[in-house]
Amino acid sequence: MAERRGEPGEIVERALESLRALPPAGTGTIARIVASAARVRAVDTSPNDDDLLPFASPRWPRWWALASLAAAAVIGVLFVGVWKSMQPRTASSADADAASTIAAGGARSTVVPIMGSREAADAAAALIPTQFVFDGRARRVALVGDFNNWDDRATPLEREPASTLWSVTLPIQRGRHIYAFLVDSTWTVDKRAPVARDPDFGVTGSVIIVGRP
Amino acid sequence: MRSSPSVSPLPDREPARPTVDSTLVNRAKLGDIQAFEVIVERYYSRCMRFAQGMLRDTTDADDVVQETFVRLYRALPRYEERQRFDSWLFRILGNCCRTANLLQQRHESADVSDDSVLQTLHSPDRPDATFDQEWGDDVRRALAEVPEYNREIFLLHYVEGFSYEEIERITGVRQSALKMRVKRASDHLRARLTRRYRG
Amino acid sequence: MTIRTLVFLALFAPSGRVVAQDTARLGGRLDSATQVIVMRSVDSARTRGLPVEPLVDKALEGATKRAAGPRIQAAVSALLRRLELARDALAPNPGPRDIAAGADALAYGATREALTAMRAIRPNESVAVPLGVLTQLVASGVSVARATRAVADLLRRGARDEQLIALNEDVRSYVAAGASPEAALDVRARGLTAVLPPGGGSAVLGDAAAPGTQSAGSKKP
Repeated sequence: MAERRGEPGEIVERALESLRALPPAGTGTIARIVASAARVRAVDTSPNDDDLLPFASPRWPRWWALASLAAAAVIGVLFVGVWKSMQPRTASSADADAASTIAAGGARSTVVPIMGSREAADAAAALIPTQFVFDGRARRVALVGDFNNWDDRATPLEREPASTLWSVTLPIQRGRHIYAFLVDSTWTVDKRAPVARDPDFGVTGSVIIVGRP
Repeated sequence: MRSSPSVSPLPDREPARPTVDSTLVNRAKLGDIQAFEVIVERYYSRCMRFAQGMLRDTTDADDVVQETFVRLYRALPRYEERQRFDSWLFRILGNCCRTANLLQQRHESADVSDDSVLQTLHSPDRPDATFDQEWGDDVRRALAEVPEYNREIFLLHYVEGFSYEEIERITGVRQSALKMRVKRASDHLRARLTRRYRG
Repeated sequence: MTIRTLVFLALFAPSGRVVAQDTARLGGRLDSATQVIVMRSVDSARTRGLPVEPLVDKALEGATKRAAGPRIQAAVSALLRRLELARDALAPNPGPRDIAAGADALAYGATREALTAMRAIRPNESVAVPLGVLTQLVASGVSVARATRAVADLLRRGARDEQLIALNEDVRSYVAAGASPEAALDVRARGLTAVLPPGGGSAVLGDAAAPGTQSAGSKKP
């Protein structure tokens, strides 16, 4: 083994070869990240908080550890605030300034005002945060449709604690869309939504029409 | 007994770095989600690679990288072209990794040993050579022992290919200090891996 | 990716980066022969200025539904033809979302004249939602002519997207309760018309009025 690894001077070079290997992106991973970012962008108006921690200096480790702990406590409070603001809004919690709710089929779409440049507002407003809800017992529920590459890994639903209700909210373009749930990998239509005939493949789906006030 | 040969510093290597043109970034700044998707596709693997090297618990890498891109997208309206885009991305990523490490550290019990921390390390998924997998694990274990502030600079320079000047802009640490940190990280890896494979 | 796919891309791809994005979306979910055919349709769409996303979506839909390769190829080819018809019917300069909605409507039996009528009534706004409602009404069992007339009339009267969506939902509820689709549509269209500003009336199908003109028989506001 030592002979294969060569001289000590080369050993770090060989370690770097190992460290430089690029992990692949799973299918749906990119779509999941983009959907997550778009969802946050649509509702977020918080100031820049990406300087989470100043870079640690080893000169004063004990002092910095204390300062870092204090910063982490503050950041923890900010995280909770941002997380709460990311939760999908219901009609009862709509903002007075612009949010409204449109029921379409079995899903509910909520429009939230976008701040920023007009172009950014138009581009972002073309995507409407839309909630999908499934009611039933399962280990895993995923949403597939013409808005997420029909990828069963892109949009998992989250179960409401102590409930059989699963939901997810993601930004979708205006218009008519076809979707279905994969309930423990079984294709399942949304019982509360209109049925979509499938002249191409013969597999019935569900329909949602997403609009904007 | 053989005497240790003199060790020369590692040659400076700059692995090829993907770039994004300003048109793409400007489109993403204006809310073009498809332009942002291209950016994520281009940088995802590098960010995962870096996060897996930085994190105490590598199972957090997926969440940390997602968090990074979410923050990036939110902050895009504030991005200015005078910053190099990947420097800015890795600044956010480094911050997210350090926060994750700090939170992880707080969750760990006080008497946890290095070994239990190292047990959370995941080796790269290599379906064939067992030796390569073992080597990869050993490299990651050795890297995990390097203090975070040295490890980050080492990864930024030798794995991600940033120059010292760029790392100074990313981290705010002076170049002279950066070179010392990289050397300490290299020395530790060399000593650890030599001891492991020479007995 | 097979050699055939690579050669095809090298010969025909107008922009390596853009093609790579479409290929990445397909993500190895199709067999190589189907991927080549699909990418050929995608490239053809791009050359003709048609949106390519619906084609990739259709292929991915087929993959998720475990359809056979030839069936996916046929579906994508048919969609390409409908996209072109929709683009021409919705001229001038329809957006990609409108073209996709138009292609959807054509798949369910809407006519090109119906698409043209919608565009004429709403020349400066997206018609994706009205076309989606039209499609869904037809899918619910309303005849194409009746559904087109009802949606066009409501659009002329200034109905907003969410009002059309709500009308579609009501029709569905009534049909579920046992009403005939056309009776349900007539009832709800009358109800919606009552709350819309006066100024539009029922028009003969095919009366694709040019922007700025009034259809025959309509009252002035």
